[in-house]
Amino acid sequence: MIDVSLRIEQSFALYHERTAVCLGGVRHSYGDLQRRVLAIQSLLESASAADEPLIGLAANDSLDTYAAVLAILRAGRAFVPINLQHPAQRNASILGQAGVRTVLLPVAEAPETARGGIPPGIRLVPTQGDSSAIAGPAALRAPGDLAYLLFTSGSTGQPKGVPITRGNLSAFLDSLAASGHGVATADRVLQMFDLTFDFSIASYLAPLSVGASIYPLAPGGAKFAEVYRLLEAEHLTVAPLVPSVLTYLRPYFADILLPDLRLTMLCGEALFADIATEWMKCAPGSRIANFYGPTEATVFAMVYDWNPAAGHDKAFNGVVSIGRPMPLNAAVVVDASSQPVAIGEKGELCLGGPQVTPGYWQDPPRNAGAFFERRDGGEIRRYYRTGDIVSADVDGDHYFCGRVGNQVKLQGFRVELGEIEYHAREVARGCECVVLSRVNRSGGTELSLIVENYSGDLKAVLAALRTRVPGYMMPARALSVARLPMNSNGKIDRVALRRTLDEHSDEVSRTSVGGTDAGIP
Amino acid sequence: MKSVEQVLAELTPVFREVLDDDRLVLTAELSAKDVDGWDSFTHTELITAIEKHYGINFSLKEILKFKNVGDMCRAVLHSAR
Repeated sequence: MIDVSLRIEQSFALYHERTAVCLGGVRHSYGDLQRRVLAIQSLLESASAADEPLIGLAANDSLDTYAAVLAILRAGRAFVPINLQHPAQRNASILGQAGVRTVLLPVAEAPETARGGIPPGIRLVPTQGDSSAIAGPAALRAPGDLAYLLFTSGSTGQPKGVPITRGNLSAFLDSLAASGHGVATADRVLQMFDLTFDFSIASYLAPLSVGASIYPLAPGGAKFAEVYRLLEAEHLTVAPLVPSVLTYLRPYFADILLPDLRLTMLCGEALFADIATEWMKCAPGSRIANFYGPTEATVFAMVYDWNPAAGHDKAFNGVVSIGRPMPLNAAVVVDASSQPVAIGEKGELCLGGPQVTPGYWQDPPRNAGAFFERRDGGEIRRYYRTGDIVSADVDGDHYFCGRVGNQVKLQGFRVELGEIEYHAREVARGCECVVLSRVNRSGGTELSLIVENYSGDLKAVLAALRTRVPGYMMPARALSVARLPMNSNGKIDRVALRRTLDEHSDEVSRTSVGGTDAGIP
Repeated sequence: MKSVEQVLAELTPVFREVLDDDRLVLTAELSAKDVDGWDSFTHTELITAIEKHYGINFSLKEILKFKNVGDMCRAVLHSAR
C-alpha cells in the first residue's frame, strides 16, 4: 500500500500547474499548494515537540486548511480537526481526550480571545506565520501509525474518538479506486463537507491524492443552492453529497441540468429511490453511487450503483440498497450471538478488512463490545459492529432496515440521541429528557425534545442546548409532557411518545414553546 | 402593491422565530454576518419559512441572489405579482 503522503507527493510532482484547490473562483495550483504545505510543515516542526503525534486543526474555508492537513500528514503526524463554530465545550472535550498540545489555525495571527474551546494550555500556531525554515522530506511512517482522529457522537454526552491509521486510509483510497467509483486526475470535485465529517476525506484527500481539482463550497447562503451554483458554474464532474441536499434541491429539479456531472457519490443517510431516479434527469450523464460506511471503517466500505434503466433498482421500503462490500472489505450480517443470519433475514451489519479502525480512542470497554473476530475461510478477520440493521439478498446486496439502539443520521452525521438528551437534562434542571427523530414534510430528518414536567421556559432550554451541541444536533422543537410514558419493561415508551408527538405536531411548533403552555398531558 | 417596508414588517415574526431572537429588528440591509445563529442551516430554514408564510416558491436563481433581507423582500414582491 502506498502511504497517503507519497500519493500527494506524486500529485505535486506530476501536476504542478494543475488546479488543486479552487476557492471562491480563485484557482490554486498543486505548485501553490505544495509551497503552503512545506511552509506549514516547517512551522509545525519548529512550534511543536517531536513527540506530539496528534496535531489539532481548526479547519476553515482556506487553502491553508487543506495545506495544513497535508503538512501534518507529511510530517508523519495525525490530524484532529475541530470546527470553531461548534460549541467550545465540545471542542475542549475533543482536544482534551486526544491529548492535543498544538493546534494549527489557518489564519495570519492567533486570536487574543475567542479560542473556541481551545484550552489555554494548548499552543496555537497560525499557519501564515513567518517561516524561514525548510521542511524536511515526507516522513516515512508505518501503516499502523495514525493518520487522523475524528470524534463521533457518544451516548455518554462526550464525543468518542475514532482513530484511523495510515494503513486504513491507504486501504480506503485503494478500495475506492478499485471499486470503479474512484476520482480521476481530470475530475473537478465538489467539497461541501466540514472536515470533522469523514465523508470529507472522499471529497478532498481522495481527489488530491490523484491530482484532481477540488472545489470547496463557500460559506454563507443556503447550502443546497450554493451546491447547485458551484456544480453548474464550475462544470464539476464529481459530486459527493449527502442525500438531504437532493431532498432540499428536489423542488427545483425542473430548473437543474448538469451535463458535465459524471459521478454522484451519495453517503451518510438513507437514499430514497424516487429522489435518486429524479436526480438522474438533472444529471443525465452521471452515475449514482450509493455508498455506505461508518467512520470506524474509514469513510465508506460498501456501494450500490443505482441505475434502473440497467436493472439496478434494488431498494427496500423505498430506500436504495447499500450494495456489496467494496474491494478489500468484507461484510457479515449477524444475530445477537454474532452468528450469521440466513439470506433475507435481518441482523446487524458487521464490517471487516483493512479499513476497520484499530479501536475507539482509549476506550477498552467500548472496544470489547464493538469489535469481534471470526474465521473467514482460512483467516481470522476482525469485524466492527456497525449498529445498523440490514438484510442481504441472494446476490449479496444489502438493504438498510434501521439502527440498533438510539442513533440517527443528521445531515450525514451519526448522532447518538443520548448525547443530546444528556446535555438537555443538564440545561433543563435535571428533568428527564427524550429526543425523538422523525421525517418532516420535506423528507428531512428533524428532532424533537420532550421534557418531563418542565415548568420553565423551553425556549431557554433550547437556547442553552445550542451552546453545548453543534447545530446539526439541535432539536427543531421542544415540548413538556406531564409524564413520560413507560412500556412494560419500565423503559421510556418511545413509540407511544412518537404517537403523542404526531398528534400534537401543530401545538409544539417552535412558535409555541415559549412556556408551559406548550405542555401536553 | 406592497412596499419593501410592509414585507419587512410581515417577515419580522418569521425571522424572529427561525433565528430565535425576539428582539431582532429587520432592515433591508441586514444579512447573515450581522446576526448570531444565521448560518447556512437557518438560512435554508428562513427560505422555507418565508415560502410557507406567503404560499410562494422561490426559484433557485432567486435564492442564489439572496445577499440580505432586502433581496428576500424583493423576491417576495416579485412572486406576488
